[in-house]
Amino acid sequence: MKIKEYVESGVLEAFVLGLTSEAEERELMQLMQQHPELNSALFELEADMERIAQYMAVAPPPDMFARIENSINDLVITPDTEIMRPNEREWQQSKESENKSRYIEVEAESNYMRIHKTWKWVFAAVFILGKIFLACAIYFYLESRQAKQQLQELKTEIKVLKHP
Amino acid sequence: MKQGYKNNDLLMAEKPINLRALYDRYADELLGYILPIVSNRELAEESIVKIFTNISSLKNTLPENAYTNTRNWLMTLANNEVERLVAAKAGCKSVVDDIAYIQSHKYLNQMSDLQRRVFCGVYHHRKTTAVLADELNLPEQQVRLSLKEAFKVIREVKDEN
Repeated sequence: MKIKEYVESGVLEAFVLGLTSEAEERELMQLMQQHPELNSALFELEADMERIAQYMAVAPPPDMFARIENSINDLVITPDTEIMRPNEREWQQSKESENKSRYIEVEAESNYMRIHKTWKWVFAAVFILGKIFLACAIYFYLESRQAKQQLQELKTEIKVLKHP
Repeated sequence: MKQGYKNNDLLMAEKPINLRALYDRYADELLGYILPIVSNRELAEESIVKIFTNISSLKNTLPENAYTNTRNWLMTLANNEVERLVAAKAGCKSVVDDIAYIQSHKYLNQMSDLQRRVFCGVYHHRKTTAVLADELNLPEQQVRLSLKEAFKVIREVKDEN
């Protein structure tokens, strides 16, 4: 097949949209090695796709990423998540990862970390205990100051009694 | 990414998915892709939340094969979500039959009816050219040529601007 006929057949457009069969993809990859001009043709089509996707783009609301984060935090393994698998292989990979750990992986580049929910009770207990210790410290400090004052008064009285 | 013609900017097999970067780059495009199909802003936004939530539960890397590039991969995920809504009878519709949308869209408005049906079929509904050929009762080659012509229109509109 002549390369011009191949380009005119519309297979490059189908490839850019991810709609070619595996055999067609293999053929295209081979042809790309022999005909480097196919690379630039595909690059241009990709730019066209990007242009139209950006033209159709609709700005999401500002809180949407927060909603995604909340959804991730509340993520529970349900059959619904399995429906979304792009193909069987990725599903297997995600399933393996789910089996290894029921915790969501912490994203390396994020400034936030996720911890198990039981830690919130630990933090609450530490906070309450902290308040109790602070109250005790203030109480004993005041008691101690009062005792020192009384002691000082007693010493003064004793001095007065010894040396009237 | 499969042995593609263009290096993927955000997702690579050996690189962990950076969800925020992916969101910043593609969330608006995905919302623009889903919204004309579902015609319900709330439902479309929920779909976006679901798509990115599901991406986070993947193995933190780009699938190694079967996708031309990041955009196609995300559009495939979005299409899965749309199909789920179609199955749930959530009032999804064919974009090409939405006259108001077509008229407001400078690229689609310039296309012929066949070019538009083919382009919306492959872009919005992720149908293969073989499926479209069957639906339109045309040879697959003619459907592919219409797709090619649709891309020419996109380029001409760009050149005019």
